[in-house]
Amino acid sequence: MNPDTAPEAQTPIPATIADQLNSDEAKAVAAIAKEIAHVVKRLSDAPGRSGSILPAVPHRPAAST
Amino acid sequence: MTLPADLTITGAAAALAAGATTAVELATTLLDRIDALDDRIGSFITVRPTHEVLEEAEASDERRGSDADRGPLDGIPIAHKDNIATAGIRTTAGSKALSEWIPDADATVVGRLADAGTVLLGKLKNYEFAHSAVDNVHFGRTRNPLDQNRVTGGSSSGSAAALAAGFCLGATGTDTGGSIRIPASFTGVVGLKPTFGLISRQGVVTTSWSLDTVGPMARTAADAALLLSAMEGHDPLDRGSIPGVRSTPFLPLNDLAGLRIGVEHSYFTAGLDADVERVFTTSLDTMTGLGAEIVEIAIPAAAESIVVEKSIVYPEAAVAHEDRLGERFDAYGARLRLSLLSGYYFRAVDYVRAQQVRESLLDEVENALSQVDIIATPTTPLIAPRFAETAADAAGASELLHRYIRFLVLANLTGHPAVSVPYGTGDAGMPVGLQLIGRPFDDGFVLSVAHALEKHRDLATTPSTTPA
Repeated sequence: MNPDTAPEAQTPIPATIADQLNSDEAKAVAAIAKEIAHVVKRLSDAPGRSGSILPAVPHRPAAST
Repeated sequence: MTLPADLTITGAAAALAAGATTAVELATTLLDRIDALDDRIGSFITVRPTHEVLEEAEASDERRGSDADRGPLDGIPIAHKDNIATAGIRTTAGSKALSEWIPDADATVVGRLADAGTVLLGKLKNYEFAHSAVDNVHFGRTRNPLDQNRVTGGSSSGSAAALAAGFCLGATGTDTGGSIRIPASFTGVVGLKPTFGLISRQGVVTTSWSLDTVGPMARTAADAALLLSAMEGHDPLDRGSIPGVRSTPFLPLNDLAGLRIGVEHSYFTAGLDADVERVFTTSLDTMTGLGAEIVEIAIPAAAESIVVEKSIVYPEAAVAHEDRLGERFDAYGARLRLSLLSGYYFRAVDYVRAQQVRESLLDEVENALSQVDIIATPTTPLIAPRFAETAADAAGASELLHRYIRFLVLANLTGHPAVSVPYGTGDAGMPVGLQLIGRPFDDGFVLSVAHALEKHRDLATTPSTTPA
């Protein structure tokens, strides 16, 4: 991956993957990163973020009682 | 006996019980049909050798009427989506990266349907690793049997196409963000995304641990209920499987007297194509005519459901595929590679925020379902598009895929059961699906309501199940 054209991932892409990206794909990744920035902005503005993130299985407590 | 292309499991089971046909005749007829017609449709990736299929069918015929008879699914020919492991049968997940994988063991659902006596015809094509797409880049296009110029939708494209084409009587699918319900709606069959935890995912290639489900697909709600009864139940090998619960029973309802049906008019009826809007309105009139009360409900956070789903699926899928993508980079399609890499661009806090909004969505859906028995929405805001309409630039295709999943990802995020049942006919005679969302483990009840509506559906013409 060309560091001049590719944005930095929030989590480093493993070298086994990053080393195989060509320049076109690096540009496409940059476009996706831009889209994700939009997603994340919308997410951060979304209502209803005051709750717990548990349970991981949404309805388990109700189902277990 | 001449076997119609729209034969149902229920009809076949009755014919088998009456001695009007045999499992061998059923399997032979369908294998012949697949051989003659599937090169036009492209629903199967692997068709089992005839002698193996007939061996299972003969064993079923020998059991019939004896103490060993396994019930209404004994002798019924089915097929599995190809991201579900089958012992000794190639399981590709629609990807070149797994094109040579022959599992040693069956997935739990495969074993359970085999124990019920079903006869396995083969493996059905899906979009690469069950991600959203319009074509399978490795194994070729699946065409809609009702109009071969149109998509089937996916990712369970082969499952829906094979049912609509009369190649099998039942099928399995998987649904992470609409992958059962989209193709069911586009091809005019029934598809159930079950309650999360009701059906084991053991042996299924992972897309997203917290959203993946496996479900039945069939021509009728009653048939889907028969498949569900064999597939459901706790499995300690799936950490998402919930112990001690079964679905509510399927009841062949004739009316909807006393039921309260929830409809949300802010998000779930916006952006509908005109024919979908017409069919959905008609379906509500039918429900009222059958004795139900239509109740306005609110799910304010529904508009965030696609954003939330992306923020969960992409990071989970990136991790699920990380090792394989590094080892088999060139075996992945370019579009899927980019989707998976996008997972690395979400921060940990974004994933947590998404889970928080997911909790809000759960609260809102549970609140709605405390006021009503079931929620009704269109399955998709559009009918199956033509392939030519999907050939837009990448942004256009992405916009189209967002329309596919617009009403569907909510039930994946909250875990509620949701069925797509064909209800009416849109442009050019293509089917329009109705989505019914129920309370957790009300899967049988949801199918019961779908059954009542099937008998009153507004299909101007019954879609042909024979490829043109």
